[in-house]
Amino acid sequence: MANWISILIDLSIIALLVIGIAQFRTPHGARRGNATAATALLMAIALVLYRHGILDPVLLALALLVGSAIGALIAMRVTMIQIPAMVAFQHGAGGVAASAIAFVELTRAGDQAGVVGEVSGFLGLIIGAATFSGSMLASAKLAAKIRQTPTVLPGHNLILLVLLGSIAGLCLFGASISGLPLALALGGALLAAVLLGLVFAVRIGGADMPVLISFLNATAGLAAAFCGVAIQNQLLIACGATVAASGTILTAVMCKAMNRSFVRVLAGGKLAPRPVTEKEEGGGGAREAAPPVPTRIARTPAEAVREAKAVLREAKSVIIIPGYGMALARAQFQVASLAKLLEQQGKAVSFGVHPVAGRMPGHMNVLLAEADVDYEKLREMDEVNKEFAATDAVLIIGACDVVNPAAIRVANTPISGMPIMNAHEARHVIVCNLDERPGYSGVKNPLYDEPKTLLLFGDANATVTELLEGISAQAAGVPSGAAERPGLAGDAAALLATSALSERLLKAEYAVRGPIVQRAQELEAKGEEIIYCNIGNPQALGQRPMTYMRQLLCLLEYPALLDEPAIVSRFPGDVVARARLVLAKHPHGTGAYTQSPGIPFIRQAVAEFISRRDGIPADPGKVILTDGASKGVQAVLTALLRSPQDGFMIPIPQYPLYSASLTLLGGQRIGYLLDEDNHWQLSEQSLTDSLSRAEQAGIHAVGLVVINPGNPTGAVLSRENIEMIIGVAHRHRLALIADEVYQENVYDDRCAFHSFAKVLHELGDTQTPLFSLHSVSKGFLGECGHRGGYLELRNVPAPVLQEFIKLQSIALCANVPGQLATYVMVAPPKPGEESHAGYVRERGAILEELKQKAALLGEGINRIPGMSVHLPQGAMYAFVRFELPQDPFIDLAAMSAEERAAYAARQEAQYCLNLLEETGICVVPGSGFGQQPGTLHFRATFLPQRREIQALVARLGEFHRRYTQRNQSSAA
Amino acid sequence: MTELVLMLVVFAVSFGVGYLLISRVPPLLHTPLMSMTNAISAVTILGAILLFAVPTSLGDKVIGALALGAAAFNLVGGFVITDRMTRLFKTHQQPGSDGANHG
Repeated sequence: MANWISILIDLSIIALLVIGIAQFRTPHGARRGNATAATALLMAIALVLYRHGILDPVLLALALLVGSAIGALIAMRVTMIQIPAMVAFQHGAGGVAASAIAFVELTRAGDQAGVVGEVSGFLGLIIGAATFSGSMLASAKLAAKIRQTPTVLPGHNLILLVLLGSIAGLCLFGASISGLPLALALGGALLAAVLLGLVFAVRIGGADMPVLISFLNATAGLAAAFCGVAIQNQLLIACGATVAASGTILTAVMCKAMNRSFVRVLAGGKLAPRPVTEKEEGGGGAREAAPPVPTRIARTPAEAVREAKAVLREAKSVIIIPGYGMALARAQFQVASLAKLLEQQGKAVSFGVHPVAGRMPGHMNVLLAEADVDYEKLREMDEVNKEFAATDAVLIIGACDVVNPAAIRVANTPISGMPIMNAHEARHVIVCNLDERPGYSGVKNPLYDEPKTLLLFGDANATVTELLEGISAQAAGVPSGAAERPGLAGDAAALLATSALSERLLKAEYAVRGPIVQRAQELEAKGEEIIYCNIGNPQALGQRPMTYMRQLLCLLEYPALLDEPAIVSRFPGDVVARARLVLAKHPHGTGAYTQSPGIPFIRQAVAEFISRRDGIPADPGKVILTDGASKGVQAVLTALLRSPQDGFMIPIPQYPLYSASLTLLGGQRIGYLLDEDNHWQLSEQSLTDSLSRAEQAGIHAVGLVVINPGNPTGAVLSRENIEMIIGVAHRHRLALIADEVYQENVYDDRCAFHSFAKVLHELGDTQTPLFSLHSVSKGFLGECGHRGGYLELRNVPAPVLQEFIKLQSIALCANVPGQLATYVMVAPPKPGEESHAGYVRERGAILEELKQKAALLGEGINRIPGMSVHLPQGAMYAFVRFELPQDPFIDLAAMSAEERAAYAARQEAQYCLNLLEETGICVVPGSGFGQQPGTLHFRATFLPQRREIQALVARLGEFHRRYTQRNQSSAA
Repeated sequence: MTELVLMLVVFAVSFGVGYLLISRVPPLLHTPLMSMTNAISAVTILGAILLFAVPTSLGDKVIGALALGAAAFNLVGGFVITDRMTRLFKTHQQPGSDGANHG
């Protein structure tokens, strides 16, 4: 080929490369530049193939295809979070290529190569090999396959020197020989170089990875350049040099951004205190005259979140500072959503990206770009630092050292003098970090102690989600800019901010319909299939109502039907007769108020029901019909709580109606633990322990709540247990609340339901006040929507009863359809009546189905490794215990009991949220019910259809396996 | 000797030009920059190909194939990843100085 054409083509390839790199100034240009550079290299490859005859085309094609295919495949599937590890890995591959080529060249040349060829060949070999091993180690550290902490070996520097020496020696030796001894010498030098790379990289810690990767980038380029010299290929030299330049720049940028000298980083080991030099002290510029004395304001986590939401709502400008913690928590998508929402609300939002945020220069930007953040919003530190003083709110996500004012206030720390984001200058600071532990430098962060800082510790993803909900919920209906215009709209928003509402209401928590359920409904609205296992709502999950119940209610709601013979003939005779009976006793119909305690003949029927069931006398005057048992519970609590120190004993775990109601009514909660290892039975020890704890805390126990059969535990109490409980109540002069709404749901044949009323009567206890509750919501009726139930009072004097009736009368009366449903519950068709057989059959089918589903769910869950549950003896729930791998960074022993509980709650919340997002299964985290410290639970109902339960168990097992694996690998 | 001098000049000029060009790359794009320069460093593939243009022993061929595969992995993987990453950056506003770049 004509020489000048050849040169021209070579030049144009180089020109294309230069152009490609030059285009890398904006994202759009970068994409084009990448394509341009790729084209240049492909041209170069084509040229080489054209110019030279290939002696082994098949092997060449094979190697080319296999390498390209694997490279393409992995490159297309790698996630943005994995990029640093991937890039390091590729540096390694580059090192292998350079090293291998150098090896072959040297062995071919033997002792014939000139000095230049030998030296460059050796350099290419050594640098390539060291780059390979160093990069592989870096990649493993970045992928969290090995620990992040630097490992300094004893005599580390000595080892390095020895290795270097042996390499030098072997190379010198190899310079003068050829053939097999040369190959062996080179192989030895290669191995030593590999070791060198490993020893070199192993003492560089996780946070210094950006420097290391940049350095390896440069060495990979150098290796290529030296290879080029060895084979006398100008293009290799040129490209190699360019890449080396790039790596050098990035390394310098990283070192400057961390304010650590390059040598310091390579020396590795723990960060040593860095003395602040004269120059920095005088003209540092960022030093403050008198830093404020920080006084941290004590806030509960809930208060901090509330305040944060308020801050964000009112802020006009927000700067978000992301850190590596955000990547670890995979929170970038939620953060991006939050930023978008804040922008829609008219606020100025931007991201401040510190150059060293992340494990690789520029990594944070890629993660945020992936989350669809406008790249114009990703601002550099120098640019955005001037704006903090005028910014209303700063949101810090998973970052610590980069916002640590100690860097500019305190001398002699590992980060002294390091440029930071001036978050501390903003008006409000919201920190969403996992916990209070310092960053890699180990330097405590005084920003945490400033009064304007809100600390929202926990999983960043969950925290940001909470903030999102808080802000979007409030934003609905308030036009952006309303806060600026004085006038009606603005005033209304200010009047009803949550800061104006009842503290007790704000504090009350009811997890059964909490944020996870709301998220489930959101997903369902988007078309996702959700299996609701959060609430005992049988008819929402396919259970059919009992025919008799609905037939009777139907006729009672529209009595005119009874005058139409054609319609009457469609109903069973006994239903019609009963309807006429009821209408005779209660002629006003379903639309009128009834007497406050309920329709008299229904109260009578309830008393008869109790007598029949328990064989004891029952007084209809002491029965009050309520809107579901929940209202009955609240009535008892309202009546008995007299002073702020009064409290009720409630089981742990418990149905959160009790804890929420006590909070709402200003009463104290005295939790007693149920014994999970003993089928959730109550122990006397547990009861008396909690009583003495309460006494010590100055709380006066007035009542004891027992849920039998248990919610969420499903435990059916034995008679002995009930007697013991009554004994304790008697001794300590407590009132008893017996929540017995699940009395019809007993599946375990070894158990039987004993009512507290019966046992109380048989024990002859006439002192202990007993409030028993029943409802139409559960059992086999499942009529939750009808809100029907009753409260039966025992050992309660008449004047007290009057007060209860007065309380009931304030809401006038319970709803009539609910009262009628209660009537059907306590007075079902009798044997001999027409509907009786069908009633019994339907009841049996429903209960049998529930029993089988209980076993199906329970056994299925017990087969999942890492999960266990006591097969529910009754009720409708499985309170599942699960285990997660221990996070090595979390030191539970160093936390207080509250912090541990909060941590467990966060773990559960994240688990249940992920379970929902990944499988569509909606359960309630155990923290909503309370649990033994140190355990993790969630409550699931077994109400869905049977085949859904099977699918549920399978998906649950899969999810748990994935989740524990994921958390194991990211916990490093 | 002249060859050495030539190679040194090439190295120095390339290093210098590279330094100048790359110091203009904004921190926003540092990660894709690294993966692209990585791909460019896979120019060693040319050296690997050249190994197949001369008679070599079987052992050398195997090593050569290894070098070729690794370089191909690096080359293709690097450019593909860079492309993926640069695609992610979007803006809804008018981009700043994009008009200056024509490709």
